[in-house]
Amino acid sequence: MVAAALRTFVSGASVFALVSLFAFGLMALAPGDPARMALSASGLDTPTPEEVAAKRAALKLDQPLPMRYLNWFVGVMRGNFGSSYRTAKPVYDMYLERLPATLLFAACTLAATFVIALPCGIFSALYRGKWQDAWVQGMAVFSTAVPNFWLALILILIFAATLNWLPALGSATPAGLVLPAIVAALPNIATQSRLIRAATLDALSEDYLLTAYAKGLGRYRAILRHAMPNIMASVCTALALELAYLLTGSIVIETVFAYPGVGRLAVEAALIGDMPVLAICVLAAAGVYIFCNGLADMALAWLDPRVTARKL
Amino acid sequence: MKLKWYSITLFVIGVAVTLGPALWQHDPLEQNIDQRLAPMSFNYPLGTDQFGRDMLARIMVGGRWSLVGAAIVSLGTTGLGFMLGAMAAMGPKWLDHIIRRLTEVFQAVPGVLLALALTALLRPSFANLLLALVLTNWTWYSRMYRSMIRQALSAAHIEGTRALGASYLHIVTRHILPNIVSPVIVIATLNFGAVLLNVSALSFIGLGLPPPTPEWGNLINESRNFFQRVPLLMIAPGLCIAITVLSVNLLGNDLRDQITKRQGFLQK
Amino acid sequence: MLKKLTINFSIVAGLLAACAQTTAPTTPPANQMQAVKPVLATEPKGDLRIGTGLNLPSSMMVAVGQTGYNMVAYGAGEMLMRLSPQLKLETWLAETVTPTDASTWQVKLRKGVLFHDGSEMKAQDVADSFKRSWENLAGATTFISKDTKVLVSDDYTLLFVTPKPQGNFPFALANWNFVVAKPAVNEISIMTGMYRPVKLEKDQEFTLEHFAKHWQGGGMLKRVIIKKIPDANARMLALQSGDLDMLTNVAPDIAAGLPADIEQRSVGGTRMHFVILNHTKAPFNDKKVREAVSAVVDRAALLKATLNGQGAVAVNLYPPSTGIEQVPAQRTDIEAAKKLLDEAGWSLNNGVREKEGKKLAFTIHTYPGRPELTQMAVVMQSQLKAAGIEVKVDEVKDITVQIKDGDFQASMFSIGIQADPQYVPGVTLVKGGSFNYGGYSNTNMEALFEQLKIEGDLAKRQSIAKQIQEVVKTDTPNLYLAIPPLITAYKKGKVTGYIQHPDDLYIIHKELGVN
Repeated sequence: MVAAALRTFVSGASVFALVSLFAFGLMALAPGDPARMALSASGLDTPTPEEVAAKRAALKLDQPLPMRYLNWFVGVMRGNFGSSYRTAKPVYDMYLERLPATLLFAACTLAATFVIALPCGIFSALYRGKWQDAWVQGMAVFSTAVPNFWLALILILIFAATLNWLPALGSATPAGLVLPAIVAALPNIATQSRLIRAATLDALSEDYLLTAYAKGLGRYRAILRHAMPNIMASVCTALALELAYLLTGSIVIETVFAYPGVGRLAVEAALIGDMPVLAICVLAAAGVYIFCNGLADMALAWLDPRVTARKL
Repeated sequence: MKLKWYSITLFVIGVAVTLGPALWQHDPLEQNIDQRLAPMSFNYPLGTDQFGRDMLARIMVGGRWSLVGAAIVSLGTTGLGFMLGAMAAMGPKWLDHIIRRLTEVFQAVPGVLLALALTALLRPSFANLLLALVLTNWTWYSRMYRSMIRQALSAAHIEGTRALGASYLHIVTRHILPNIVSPVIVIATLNFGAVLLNVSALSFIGLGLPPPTPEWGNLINESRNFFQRVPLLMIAPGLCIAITVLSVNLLGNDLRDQITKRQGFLQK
Repeated sequence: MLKKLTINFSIVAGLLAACAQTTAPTTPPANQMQAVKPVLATEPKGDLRIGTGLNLPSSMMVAVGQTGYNMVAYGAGEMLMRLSPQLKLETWLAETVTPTDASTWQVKLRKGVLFHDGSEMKAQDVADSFKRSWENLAGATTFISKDTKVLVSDDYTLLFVTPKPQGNFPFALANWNFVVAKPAVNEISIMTGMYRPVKLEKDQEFTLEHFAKHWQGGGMLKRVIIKKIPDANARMLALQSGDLDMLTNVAPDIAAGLPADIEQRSVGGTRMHFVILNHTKAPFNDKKVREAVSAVVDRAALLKATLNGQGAVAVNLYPPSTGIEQVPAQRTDIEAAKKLLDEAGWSLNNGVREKEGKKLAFTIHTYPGRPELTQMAVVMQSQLKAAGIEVKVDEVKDITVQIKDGDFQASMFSIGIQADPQYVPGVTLVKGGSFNYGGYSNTNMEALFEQLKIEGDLAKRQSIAKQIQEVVKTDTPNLYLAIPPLITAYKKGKVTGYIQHPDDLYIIHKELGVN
């Protein structure tokens, strides 16, 4: 167990280091002079060559690239991610400002996904091959085919513009989260319910469930008591990775709903070339993904010991 | 094989985007300010946009960009994924290791974010958008192909040819490709829908084609200012995307089922 | 009641030619020595949430960038002079502004004006404030020379001695670059307006609070909150769903789609939508190409397609609503355009204009803050294509960032124009002008602008303004497109007492309240 954890950590750390190289590349290779942009962000639009040179020296831009990367990486490890080209504020602060909204959004989306996908998946497994199953499956296929930004606009048109039930803009309030969370959850519900269906079918065919039946337990209780750990194990990985993606902000949905999360921060930064902001978004996304991935591996091993044995 | 409704849909869409614009009376870029935001009519079956351009013509031409774009990404991803997968499966162990790390790196950054970052680095354009999507999508393919090629390699007759000193190229073209070509097609088909959604989403955010070129994603974006006055402008292109993706997905599912029946290759 | 003190020599927009006098006699009003009576403050209530697509200030310090503009617009900053909703120049923090000779102006301050920190505004504060403006704001120096001496005569009297006679001095005092402010504390400028800036979330939200000790008794609102929502459609939806109370600068096309429970107020604006041409780069370093492009653009069609037919077509650089006499310079003439392009060596080849194997093509940048700009660019694109000119439209989030280094060919732009003829050429057509991104320079223009700066005679100012328009006519520095109507929208019954000002510099005023 300890060895496995160590291995996960080492491989995660090496991936993170590579991602950081990419994030640094974003800043180093981007068009435009970071010194000039930093000066103009602090209000100096027409700096003299001396001022630019001084800023270059202050930002250590004259050093060779590997040195710059090391300096930057050491800074990152200490929580200093550099300053925005646009606002001159530390990008770490800018990211943290937006993070709570995205966390809330992710939590709501995951909750909606789970609450809907779990019964749907089990239900459809129990009625395997019947019309109920076909219906759930059909809905799942359909919901993965609809462009989410378009669905968002349609829902806004209906529920915000016409019926006036919900706000059109996303915000970190209960009413403001309803539409974004539904739109973000829908394709996840489809994939998760399929996974849950498969896991349930898998579990239903296992011997111990037959034993449970034999002991006189009802169908649903048998599933709840015995098959659930297995179902959870298979859903766990998928959910953890889903969480990683959600935490980086569902970029398109945040944009449509003008939701003040990190996804919109990334879009705004990309459109104006504010590379340090993009770099922190990339780093954070990768960090969360690697962490969740590792966690899912661990959780899987804990929930379902057979998996470790089965794994290549 | 029974004629399914999705094959008809795909056929209609295919004809509409290839031949449609040439046959249709309106040019997608021709502005007619006097007819702006016109409702549905015989002359304009889907109405006109804010510049009086015919929506039907724009959707047909827009479909070309969306579908060709998605096809390019699918092909590119398949090619890149296959190449790296083959290298990982057949090359030395260190190469396998490096490719695996690379895969993990690209998986760690969400696709849309990576695409955003790349377009910011390379300036937004449709070509860069497609490139970014290829770069973000290949990881899953390469892993898939790696295991498929391994499986194929382990087949007895290939081990034999290998022992006889056949070149890699020979093995790949003669023994592996024929074995995995149908699963590759199925995977690409199944993925096409997701790619189309990604292309239109990024295009919707404004990373794709500049005006006035229509594309399904940016048609939806352009219609936003009018979507209460003329909802059709927004609904129509979105429906086109949804129907296409749905049909392609169903086609992919069917193809997969058939292949699974035939050779039991693709078990998910 | 507080008496509104109109400046003695009223410079009234549009009536300038009629009252042609250099400097009017200066008899101070009888009540000028009286202290301002304390005004009973009304109990402030409610928040007003305004949605905007335009940039919020980049900081809460008026000595940075365009912060001053926002501070005035949202009721935090005040100048010595202001424009009334009838575009009449009137005193604001000043009580009187009187010339004592051609280049000396005496400013008597209103008494009892308190800064946001509670201290009273004295002459020395104003003098320091002007110095900070000149030191920090490029725009400030184009309005009043930074070599102007500011002498403090007593606590409420200042003398401004300009290096050269300056005709529009009182007008310049109404410029937002001269918001009267004390140095920032905690990065917030200390100003005098009826609302006090308290919080700025960059690019998100700007919050101001009721200032109870305002010299006019303060506004009716507890708080003013400005939310930046770049997408025009999202803004409109937010107003409908009640997330916002008021929208400013609503595009006519969007306004046309608003439901009946939204009240709309529209006035002829003083804003000019135009295309900045880059004179340092091909193809617009060629005057013939500029002229030809201008002659191809059909401005009436632009108006119809993008402003729902509202607003006015531009014929020169000044909007007619400013009252400045117009010299028609722009007209649509396809034949003339063809001739010009042929002369410039761009010959028609398969429907495309070419010279030495290169196509006549350019990129025009635009931004979503004013949605009609992008649409205008698209219409022009189609009009120019018919003339064999290929245009690429590139919408960027932040237009200033995109074009400020001169790395562009053409860009959509829009400026609020004051009733005084000096402003537009000063910021767009002379060297160092803060919006002269295209690097335009023309010796005639510079000379005329220098004349205009020192000219005090109103009739002569008008005649110089006409000569400036003649230069525009012959040189086509930029493409002036349209004057959009200024539309404000709010929920019926929610917003009270709103007075629509034709100049969007003034949004928040005392009477504005919410239910």
